[in-house]
Amino acid sequence: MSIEPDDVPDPLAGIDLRAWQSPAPPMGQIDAILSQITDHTRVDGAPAIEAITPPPGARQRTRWIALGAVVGAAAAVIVMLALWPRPDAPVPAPAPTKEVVVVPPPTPTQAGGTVAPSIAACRDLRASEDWLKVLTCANERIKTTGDQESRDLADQAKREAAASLAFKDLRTAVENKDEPAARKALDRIPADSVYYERAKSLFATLPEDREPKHVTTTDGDVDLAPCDFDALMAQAREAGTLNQWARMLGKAGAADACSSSKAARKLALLAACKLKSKTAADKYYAEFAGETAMEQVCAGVVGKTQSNDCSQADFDVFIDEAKDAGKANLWAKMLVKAEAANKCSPSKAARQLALMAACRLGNREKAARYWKEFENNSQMTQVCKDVAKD
Amino acid sequence: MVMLAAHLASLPVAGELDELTLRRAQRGEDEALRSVIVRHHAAVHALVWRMRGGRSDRVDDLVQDCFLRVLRALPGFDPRGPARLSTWILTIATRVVLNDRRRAPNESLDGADEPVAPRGNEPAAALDRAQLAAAIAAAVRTLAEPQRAVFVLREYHDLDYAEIAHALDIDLGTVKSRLARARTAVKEHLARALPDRFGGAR
Repeated sequence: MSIEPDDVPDPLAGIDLRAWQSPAPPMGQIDAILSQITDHTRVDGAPAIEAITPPPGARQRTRWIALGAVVGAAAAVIVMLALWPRPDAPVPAPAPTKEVVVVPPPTPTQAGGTVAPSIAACRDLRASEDWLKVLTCANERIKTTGDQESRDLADQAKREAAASLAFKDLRTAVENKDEPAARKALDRIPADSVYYERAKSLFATLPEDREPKHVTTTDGDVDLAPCDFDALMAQAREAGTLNQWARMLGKAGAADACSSSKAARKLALLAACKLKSKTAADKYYAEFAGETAMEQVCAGVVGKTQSNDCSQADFDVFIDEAKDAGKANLWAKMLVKAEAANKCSPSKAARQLALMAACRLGNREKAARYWKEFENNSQMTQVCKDVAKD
Repeated sequence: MVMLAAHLASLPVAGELDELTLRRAQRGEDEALRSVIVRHHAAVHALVWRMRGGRSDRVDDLVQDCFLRVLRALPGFDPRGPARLSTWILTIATRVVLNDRRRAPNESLDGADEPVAPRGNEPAAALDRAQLAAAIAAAVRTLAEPQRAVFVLREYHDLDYAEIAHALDIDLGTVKSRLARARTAVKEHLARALPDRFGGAR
């Protein structure tokens, strides 16, 4: 008979299990994860819930059985070859069985007996853009086979790992609109890197006046950044047909930067509105205000219909971020997020979070701003007793 | 701090991602993908950390592995299906950790992190809470892997029995018996570790 917790009192009733708090997750991890997701992996729909693997004992048994079968088959082949009569050779005297040397086929195995991964399996790992895994896989092969393909793959993994770091730096620089840092990061990404196209698109989203397209030297104009307007426009349209709005925005923006074009800006605006990126949409909207089609596409993002900068979804995200920050004792961040939520959609819950954060921070000015509404709230009185009530 | 933490804990659990953002994420839009991760990052990190008995090593790798699986498979997630997005993600995280543990069955979980230090105006209460946190962590580490998984999913992530059964690919009765045993074991450990507080009769 099974023990059913529904049928018995909970022995932990009254014990505050939440006292065991987990530490805050590292803040940079989200960017690291996003940077590993490529366009093609985003849409593959592969099953994510892996089966729970059988216990190691079972797996080991399976492995030994497979290994035994291979060795047995190899031994049989060798014995047959050894005993097969050849017309041009004297018939050998039958050798005693104990002297037959069993030589297994040359499988790429390590000292521990583990079969090294195939080169194809190592190459497939590139799709995940987890370069450490690719390098580890290639190194395992180098140890056993030492083939040139594995060495080349290991070198590529090292190069791409460096490029991925540069791409992260580029992303940060673009977010900070720091053009020199972005260019420096872009220059660290070689043209044959898998990150190169993405990096170029990302770089193109910087404000268009970021760089002169030409510099004058004593030899005349030197093109610093040769660009192909038609190709960029084609890529932008193609991205649009695939609903890849971020890519479309990048390509259209790059096309406009390459050769100022109303058509490119219109594509960029369309992409920005589809993405609901107000910042990007605002950049292009003025030129097309009044065009019915664009008004419709951009309703709720820019223009007269926009009553606020953010949606209910944005509000929810701000609130969640504020709570998460609070759980991690990141009071300044909690305050910023709670205020952003309240600005997005004025709400008592958001203001309460802001007050909590302000009190924890010791920010008297902010605490005083929200205190009045909660002065009769005993919890807030406790939290703010040294700050807001003064 | 204790009150604030208690208050925060009592606030509604973050709701599911709105349908529009989920659809945008399923199409691979950066902003929406970021929303998916931002919304579930803390929960997945906490789950992995607790399933590892409160040890930080390998947690970042496993969390990253989990989200890579989530984001790759997101286009195939059916929001009208039986699982909520949050449960689906926690299921993936649970299996990532369990399979990782099975690949290294002899790895010890000793040497866990120090509990997150509670801060507040009442040092005695903070100390009590820190002791309790350390005792719970030690108790959870002593649980067998299957019991620990059920315990963490139920007590810290509020999954119901059916969701836990799906996540661990076991039947409902097994969930209930494992949870009962885990709770009893944790209580017994707490009674030994903190006899003044939990040593008496239940």
